[in-house]
Amino acid sequence: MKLWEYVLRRLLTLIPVLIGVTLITFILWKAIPVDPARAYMGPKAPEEDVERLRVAWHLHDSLWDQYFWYMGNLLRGDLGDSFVNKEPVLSNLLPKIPATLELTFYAMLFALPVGVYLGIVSAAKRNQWIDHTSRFIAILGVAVPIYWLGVMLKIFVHEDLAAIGLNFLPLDGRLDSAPPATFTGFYTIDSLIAGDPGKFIEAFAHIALPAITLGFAQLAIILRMTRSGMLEVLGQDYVRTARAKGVAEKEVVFHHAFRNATNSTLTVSGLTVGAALAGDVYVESIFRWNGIGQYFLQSAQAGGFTDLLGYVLIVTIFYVVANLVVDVLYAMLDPQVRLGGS
Amino acid sequence: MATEIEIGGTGIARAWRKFLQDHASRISDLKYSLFLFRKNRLAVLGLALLLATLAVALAASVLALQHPFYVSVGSDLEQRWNTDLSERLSPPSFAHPFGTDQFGVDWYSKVIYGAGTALQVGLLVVIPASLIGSLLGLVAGFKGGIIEEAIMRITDVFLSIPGLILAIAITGVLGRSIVHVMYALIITWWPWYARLVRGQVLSVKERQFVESAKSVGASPSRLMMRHILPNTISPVVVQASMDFGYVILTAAGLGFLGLGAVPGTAEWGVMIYEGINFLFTAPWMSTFPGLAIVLAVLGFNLFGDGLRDILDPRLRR
Amino acid sequence: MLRIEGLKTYFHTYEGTVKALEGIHLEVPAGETVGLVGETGCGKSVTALSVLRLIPSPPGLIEGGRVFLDEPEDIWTLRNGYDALASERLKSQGWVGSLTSARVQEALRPEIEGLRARLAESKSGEEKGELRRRLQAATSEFDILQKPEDQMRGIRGDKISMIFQEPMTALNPVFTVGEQIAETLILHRKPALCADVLKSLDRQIQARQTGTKARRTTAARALDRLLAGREPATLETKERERYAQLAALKPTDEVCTNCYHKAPRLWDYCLACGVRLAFDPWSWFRGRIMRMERSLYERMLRDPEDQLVDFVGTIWFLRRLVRKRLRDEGIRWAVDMLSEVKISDPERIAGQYPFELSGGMRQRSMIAMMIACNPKLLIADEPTTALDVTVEAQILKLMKELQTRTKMAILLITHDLGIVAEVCDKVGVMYAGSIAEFGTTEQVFHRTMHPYTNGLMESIPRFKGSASEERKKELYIIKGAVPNLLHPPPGCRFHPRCPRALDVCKEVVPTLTQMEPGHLVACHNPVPRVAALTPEVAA
Repeated sequence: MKLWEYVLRRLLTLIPVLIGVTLITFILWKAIPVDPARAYMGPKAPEEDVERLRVAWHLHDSLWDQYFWYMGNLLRGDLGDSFVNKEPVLSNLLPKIPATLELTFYAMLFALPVGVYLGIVSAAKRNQWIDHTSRFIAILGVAVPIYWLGVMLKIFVHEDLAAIGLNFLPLDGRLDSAPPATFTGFYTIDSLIAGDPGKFIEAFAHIALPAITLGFAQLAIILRMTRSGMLEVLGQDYVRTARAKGVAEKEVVFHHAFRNATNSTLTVSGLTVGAALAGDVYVESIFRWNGIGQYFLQSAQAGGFTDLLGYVLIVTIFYVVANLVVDVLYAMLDPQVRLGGS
Repeated sequence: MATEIEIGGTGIARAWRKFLQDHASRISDLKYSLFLFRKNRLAVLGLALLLATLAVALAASVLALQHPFYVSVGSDLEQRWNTDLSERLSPPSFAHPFGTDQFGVDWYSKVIYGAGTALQVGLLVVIPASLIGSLLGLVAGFKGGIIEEAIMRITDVFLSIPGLILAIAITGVLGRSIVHVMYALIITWWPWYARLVRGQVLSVKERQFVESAKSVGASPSRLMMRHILPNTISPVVVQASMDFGYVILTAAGLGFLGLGAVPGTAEWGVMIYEGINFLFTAPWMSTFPGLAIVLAVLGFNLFGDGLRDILDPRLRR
Repeated sequence: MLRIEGLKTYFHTYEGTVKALEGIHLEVPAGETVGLVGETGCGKSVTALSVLRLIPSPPGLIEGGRVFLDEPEDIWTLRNGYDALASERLKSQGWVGSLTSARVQEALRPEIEGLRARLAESKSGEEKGELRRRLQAATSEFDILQKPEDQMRGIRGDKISMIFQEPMTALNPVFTVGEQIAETLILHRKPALCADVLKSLDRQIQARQTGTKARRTTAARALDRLLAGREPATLETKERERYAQLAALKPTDEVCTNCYHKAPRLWDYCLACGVRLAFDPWSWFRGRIMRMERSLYERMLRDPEDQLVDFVGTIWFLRRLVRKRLRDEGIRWAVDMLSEVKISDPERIAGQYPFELSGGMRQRSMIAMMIACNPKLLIADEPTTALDVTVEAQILKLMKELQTRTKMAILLITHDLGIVAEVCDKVGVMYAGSIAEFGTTEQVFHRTMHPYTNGLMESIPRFKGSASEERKKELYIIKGAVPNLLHPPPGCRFHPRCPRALDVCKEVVPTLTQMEPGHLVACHNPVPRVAALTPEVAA
C-alpha cells in the first residue's frame, strides 16, 4: 500500500489508545484520596465556595457524566487549572516545553551517532577491544541510575576538574545571564540567531552536563540494540554473497549489513524517546533545568493533581506521535513493509 | 543408542544411578548449560553480585555498625536511627567506612540496611507484576478473539505512557509512601509481561511441533502444559530477573525524587536525595548508595543476560 | 583453470577441531563442468568457500594446500619438477603433510634466490622469459591462497564467482536486483563503465544545449500521435522507421516523446537522445552540475583511485556526483545481463526487490550478478536444490549455454546424481573431507571403482517394472552413518562402512591413484570391474 495509506492506518489506531489514556488519567483523578475541591481551595475557604466548586467540577454527578465532562474539556484543550498556582495547566506547561526539547535534542545528538557507530563497530569486530569496551558501556548505561550519574558528574566537575583548573562547565540552570530573544525557545539556536556567540557558548556549556547525563542511558540502549541487530544481520547469507562479489569489508558492514539492521535501531529509537522523557524528570531536577520535567516533579511533590494528570496526557501524546514517526520511517526504509511483501 | 552398562550397587545408590541414566540427555543438557554459564564470565559476575546483595540484606544485623529502631507513627511503622551530632558529616574513616550524614548516623550501616529494603521492594513488585501480566498474557494468547483484543488494547494503553511518568503520577496522587511506590510500579510493569507471554504463546502455537502434537490427538490442556508452558516460562524468568534490577533502580529513583520513602529511612534513593544538600561538603552521602544501586542492578542484569544466553537454543553450539 | 592441491581446512571449535577438508585434489578445466557430489556434511560447500577464502576465520582456518587459478600448462610442468624437489627436501626434514606455498618457497629458497639473481643479470629477452617462468613455477605464483586480501577481492566476483543455494536469503532484501548486479560491475569494471557514463553524459549535455524537451508517454499514444489519423502505408521513410520501432513494443510500454525510444522508469534520461524525462528540482544548476560530473568521471576513467573523486565520495551530500551516474550505467548493463539469463522484461525486473520475484527469477538474477564480469570459473553450490524441477532444468540449461558461449569453467556442487549425469563432464565424489573418486561422468558412473561411489549408485531407487522380482527386494543403503569429523576414523575414513575394507584401510589413508587415464580413486581395495591396469600414482 502507499505510504500515506499506511500513515492513515496508523493514525486511526492511535485514537483508541489515546482514549484509553484519558480513562487512566480519569481513574487517577477519581483515586485522589482527598476531596479535590477542598484541596484546591485550601482548608480556610468557606464551605459554600467549596461546594460551588464541587458542582462546577461535576463531582456529584454519576461517573459517566463526570467522564464526559472531562473528555469535553480535554477536546477543547482545557486541562484544568493548576492546584498550585490556580492558572490553567496548559499555560503553565507550554512555555517550559522548549527547555525540555532542547535538552532532549542535545542528549539524542550525543547518544544516537555515538551509540549507532559503536554498535556497528562492536558487532563487526566481535570480541576485540572495542567490542568489550562497548559492551561495558552498554551494561553500565543500564545499571547506572541517571540521577546518580548527574550527581556524580556534578561532584566530579566541581571537585576534580576544579582541582586541575578545568572547571568551565556550569552546574545549574540554563544560563547565568539573561536569555536571548525568543525565536525557537532553544537558547543555543536563539543566541546564534541573535548574533551573540558568547551567549551561545554559555548556553552550550550549560547544556553539556545535563545532555550527557540524559544521553548516557540512551546511548547504552541504542548501542545494545544496534549491536544485536547487526550481529543477526552479519550472520545472514546475503552478507556472504556481498563478500563473494568482492565488496570490501567496510562497505559490507556499513552499507550492506547496516541497511538491514536499521530496523532494530529504529525500534529502539522509539523507545528511547520514552526513556528520555522519563529521565528528563531526574535531570531537570538535578540541574535545576526549568523545563516541564521539573514542573511535573514539583506538582507531584506539592499535590498539584491537575498538573500531574495534564502532564501525563501531554507527554503521552508526544510519545505516541514519536512512535508513529518511527513506524513511518520504518515503512520508508523497508521496501517490504511498503510494497506489502510476501 | 542404548549403551548397556551394568547398574551395580544396592538400594539408594542403585536408584540414583538409574535416575542418572534415565535422564542422561537432560542431565548432559544441564551440564552443558552450566558449562556455558561458567564460560560466560559476566553472567558469573552477575550471579556473584546478586548473591552478595542477598547476603548483605540477610546478614544486615551482623554486618552493620548501627541498627535502626521502629516507631509507630499513625498507622505506619517508621524507621529511625540514633543520631550523634558530634560525628555529623564526617568523611569515611575506620569508624565510619562510608562517612556519616548530617545527623551523625553511620552511612555504611544505612547502606547495608538499604539492601534489604531494595530487595523487598523488588520482590514485592516483580512477583505480582509478572504473575498478573503472565496470566493475562496466557489468557490473551490462548483464548484469542475479543478477549485477546481487549487485553492487548489495555496493554497498549499502559505501554504508551512512559513508565516513570505513570509511576510518578500515581505516587503523586496517592501520596508519598513506599507502599504507594510499590503499587505504582506493579501497575507500570505488568503490561510488559502480558505482551511478552502472549507473543510467546502465539509463536509457539504456530510452530510445527504443536501441529504435529495436535495431529496425534493431544487435548488443549495437555497442549498447554507440555508444550506451550515450558517455552513461555524461560523468557518470563529471564525478563523477571532483569526486571528485579530495574525495579530497584526505579523505586530508588522515586525515592530520590522525594516520592517514596520518608527521609531518614535506609533506602538508597532517598539517601542520595538527602546527600544533595551536602553535595560538595559531604559527597560520600550521595556516592555510596548510588554505587550500591549500580552493583545490585548490574548483578541482576548480567545474571538475566547470562540466563537468556543459555536458554536461547540458537546460541547454543 | 582451477587446480586444487591438498586443500586442508579445519574448524577450531569449543568441542575440538573439526577436520572438514583433509587434502582435497580437484581440477576444473576451462570450458568444462565438473560436478562435486557427496552427502550433506562431507565438505563440498567448505571446499567452495575455501577456494574463495570466505571461510569465517575465528573458528575456521585453511591449514594447508594450494589452489591454482589459470595456471598455464608450461608453468605447471615446470612446477611439478620443483614440487617434487621441495617435497623430497621437506620429507627429509621430517615434514609430513600437504604443501603450502610458504613451505615450498622455504624449501626451494636456494633455487629461488638463484633464479632471481640470474634474472637480474640476464640481458637476453628470451632468457629472461624462461627464467621468469621458472620463477613463477618455483614460487607457486598462481596459488591464490597466498595472495593478499585485496588481490583476492579483485578475484572474487571477477575471475571466480559463486552462486548459492538459497536465492531468497542470498540476495540483499533492501536493494533492487538491478542495483545488486550493478554493484558487481562497479567493483570490477569501473573504467569501462566510466567510459559509457561519459558517452551518455555527452549526449545529455548536448540535448540540454539544444533545449529539447520531452516526456514519457505510452507506446500506444505515441503511435497515435505519429500516425495522426493517417494510414501506416502513407508514412515517409523516416517516420516509417519510427513506426516499426513503436509497433514492436507493447502498447503500455513507455517511450520518449522525442525519439520514440523505449524509456523505462529506471532512468531519468532517454537512453537514445539524452533528453531529461523526469522532473528535475536542480534544473537551474543542471548544466553546471553536469560539467562537474563530466570532469570527475574523466578523472575516474584515467585513475580509478583518483584522490579528488574519493574525497568527493566521502562528503555525504556530494556523493551522488560520483555515484549516481555510475550506478545508472551499471543498471543499464545489468538489464543486458538480465536478458542474457533469459529474463523477460528485464527493465521491470531490474527495479524490483528480491522478495517480489519468484524462486527461479531470483536464481537467474543471482546468476546474472555473478557472471556479469565474465568469470573464468563459476562455482555453483547446490544452485537448484531449492527450486522446482522444471525451473531446475531451465537453470541448468542456462548455465550450460553460458558456458558454451564464454568457455567458463563450472564447478557444480550437488548431492543429486541425476543432475551430475545430465550436466557434468567430469565428477568428483567426496566423502568426509576427501575425494574418493574422480573421473569423467562416464567413467565414474559406469566403471565405478570406489566402494562408496558404488554404494551411492546402488542406493538410487530404480524403477524395474512392476512385475519384476527386483522390485520386491529392499532398497539398498550404505550401512552406518557419516563419521563425526571431530574424531574421524583412522586410515581411510570410509572403512567402518565399507564392505570391501581390508586391514590396511584401518591404518593407512589411501591416496588418489590413477586407474585408467583420467580416472582416479583413493582406495586400497577398489571395486574390480576394470581389468588389471598398472596403477600410476597421481601427481
